[in-house]
Amino acid sequence: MEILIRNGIVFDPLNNIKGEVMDIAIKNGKIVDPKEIDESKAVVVDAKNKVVMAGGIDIHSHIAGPKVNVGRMIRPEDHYLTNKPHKLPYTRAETGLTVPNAYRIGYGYARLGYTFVVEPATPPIKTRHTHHELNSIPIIDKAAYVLVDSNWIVLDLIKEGKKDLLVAYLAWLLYATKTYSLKLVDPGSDVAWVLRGRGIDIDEEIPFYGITPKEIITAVAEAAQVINIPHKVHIHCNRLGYPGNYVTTLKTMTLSESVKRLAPGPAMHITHVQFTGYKGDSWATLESGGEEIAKELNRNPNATLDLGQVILGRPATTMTADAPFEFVLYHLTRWKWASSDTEIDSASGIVPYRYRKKSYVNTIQWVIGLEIALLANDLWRVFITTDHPNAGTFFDYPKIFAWLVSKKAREDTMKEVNQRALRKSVLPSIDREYSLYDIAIVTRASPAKLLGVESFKGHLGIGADADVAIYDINPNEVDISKNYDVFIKAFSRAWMVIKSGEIVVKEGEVVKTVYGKTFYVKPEIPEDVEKNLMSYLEPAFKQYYTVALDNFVIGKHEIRNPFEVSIKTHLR
Amino acid sequence: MSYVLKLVSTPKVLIDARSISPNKFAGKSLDEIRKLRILEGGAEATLDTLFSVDGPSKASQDPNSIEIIIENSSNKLCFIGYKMSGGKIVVKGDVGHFTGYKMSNGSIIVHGSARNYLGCKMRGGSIEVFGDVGHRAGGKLHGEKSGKGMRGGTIVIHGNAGSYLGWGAGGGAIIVDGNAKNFAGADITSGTIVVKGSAGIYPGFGMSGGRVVVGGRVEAMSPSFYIDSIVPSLKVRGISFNKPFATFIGDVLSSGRGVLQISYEDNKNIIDVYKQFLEESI
Repeated sequence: MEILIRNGIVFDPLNNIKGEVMDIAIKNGKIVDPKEIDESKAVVVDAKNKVVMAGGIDIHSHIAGPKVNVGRMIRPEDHYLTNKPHKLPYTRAETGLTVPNAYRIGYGYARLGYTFVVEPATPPIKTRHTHHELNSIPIIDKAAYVLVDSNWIVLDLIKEGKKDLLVAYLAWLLYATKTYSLKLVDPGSDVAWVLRGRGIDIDEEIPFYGITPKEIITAVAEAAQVINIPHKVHIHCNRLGYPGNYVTTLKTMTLSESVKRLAPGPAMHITHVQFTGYKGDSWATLESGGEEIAKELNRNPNATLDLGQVILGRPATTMTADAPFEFVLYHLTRWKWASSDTEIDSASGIVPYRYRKKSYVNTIQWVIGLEIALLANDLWRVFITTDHPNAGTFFDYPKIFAWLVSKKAREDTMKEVNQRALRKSVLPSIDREYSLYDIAIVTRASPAKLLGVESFKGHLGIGADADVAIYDINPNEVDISKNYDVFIKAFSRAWMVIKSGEIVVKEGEVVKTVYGKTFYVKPEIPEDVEKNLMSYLEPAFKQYYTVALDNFVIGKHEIRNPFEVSIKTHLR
Repeated sequence: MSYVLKLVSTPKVLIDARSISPNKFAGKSLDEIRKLRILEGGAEATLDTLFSVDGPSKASQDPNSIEIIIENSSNKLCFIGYKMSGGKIVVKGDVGHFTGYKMSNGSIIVHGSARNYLGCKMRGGSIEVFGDVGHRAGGKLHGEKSGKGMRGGTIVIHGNAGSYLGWGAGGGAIIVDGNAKNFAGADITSGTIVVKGSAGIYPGFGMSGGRVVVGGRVEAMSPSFYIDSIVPSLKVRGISFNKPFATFIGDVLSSGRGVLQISYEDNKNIIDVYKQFLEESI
């Protein structure tokens, strides 16, 4: 199918296009030169006075996997009365709000103009399930990060100092589970929690293993350098959710400088930093550590971070592989929780939560994310997420964009929140406003760069995948910093979304269902290294897992539309 | 200003009729009302495919002045009076699930029976049912916290009620002339529940506040209540009982201070076990 998008106002940071009126031509799922298109045969879309951007990329959103499914099970009230019946032949029934069904996730993201979403935590042993769920999410492209923080084999290898074997194991694990990158969640704290009943800081020793979380982070980050995966390592910091934890976050960020580098670019990604940016000794004296973290981010070019921005007044479901924290949170909320435990890999907890506008703590949480986003100098290293569904749902992304582009939007929200918390923060004094170009950076261009797919995703240059989002707003006529309502409305329902050269959304309604690709990496492992690894792994698997090694490996045929990213490693 | 909706054909599947509410009718012309959206099973339909609609050609802006009469009704009609904030709905026949869901004011009168979740999460107004009702009248939804059920208003049931009457209610009043099934007033945090007839097992189970009164026999009492006193007569919400009642406090399982009152004479065998504790405390 050929499509010609006429006269759109294009924002494309990777090609340095700032709101120029351009034509975009699409042929066979790729963007091509407009001259190559036969206009009489093509579908011509008149995008005059509309904003054209590449499809959005979300680098951290819990959309599939065992914990999402447990979340669906313990929250029946989340699915009550939210059912949208199916509309043949294009859409399936949609249900759920904070933990929606697979179809609603796909359609919801498509309506926002997002076309690539990454599930950030899947325990290796349950990744087959994660892939089954990813396979049923329509429209968007998907990928997953694999959890390695509390994996006994990883911990053993670090403890025994077998660095080469660790690198080989992680490279093998990435391919065996068909995942895209490595994820660390509160490294080492699962073991500490089981044995001592509490989480640990990055300098403390992990009981039984005798190593510190610092060593795990450094070892895995260096392994990622050797494997040379595009997105190096995704870190959920230690002591998440405890007051005073911003110090731990700063320490983790500075660790990125000491990692032995083999490739340019950031060495670490600190995720949902809002949850790890708390200053103060207790919940009563909580303050925002956003300023310090933004300062560290500006100083240290090796780290990137995403926000985990809180949405006040809307329901959320906190779910993380950080089971110790969820256990604490359950005692704070005193409602209900669930834990999903896996053999030797990880555990996760799920607690429903609601961020309240008048709450002191929740207001501080709301402030932290915005402070970091607004005080960061280099927008290419900041990413907008809500850590869906932990701090809010992805359906509310346009609200975050509005807070970033409009001081008035922030002020209007600030009138409703806890005033004592506001007096302790610098947010009211920040005047910075993002432009639409900046929004295009943080939601399209820089995530593509971070994931190493900038050659064919996240931009509208010739040769890129034809993932295009068109929003019905004219930035030359509407002042988005004043009329932020119009902006929210336009970005909540994309006027048109094109996925792989097919029109999937028209005026905010899904009109066609396609299935996106699942991205995973294939690091090349030399034969002798693999032989060496297998001689170690086979007994280890027999000792630890209930699953045979052959059954553990996920086949390519189990993935709908697999997309393999081959990687040249530094393994010798 | 009254609209008469007459069911033309007997529906075979559940119908999501949440457009039948004075709030939805307000300010609309008769033709617009006829074109209001309903769901028949999973399929979309309009009001006039199922009902013959008669009434004034233009509804007033104020829902309080609108009366809706549903004739020939069926127990497949769900969500009648959804989130209504005023006006009156009179149903001549049965209604389905979720009647008066989240209503905040106005009144619903049902000259027939209602199915489950009658007045679920209602905030005010009144519902009167002349027949029986299903389970979880005035209740909350599954998975929600206690106290998220009915918050205000009254439900009067002239027939019998199902189990989990007023489940997780946080206010308001439910009065049942007939009998209730198991777990009447379970998990309530506030509000009053009066069952004039008998109740099933464990009335007031998990209650942390509020008041549950059972004027008849109770099948079994939860052991997590302690006895407070025996009163010679009782008057609650304008209803007087001229017989002795045993007052229990609980449920200790949810560290509650709710009041559960059950008729002494009908439940002698149950209350006599507690009586020794009563004498000790005096």
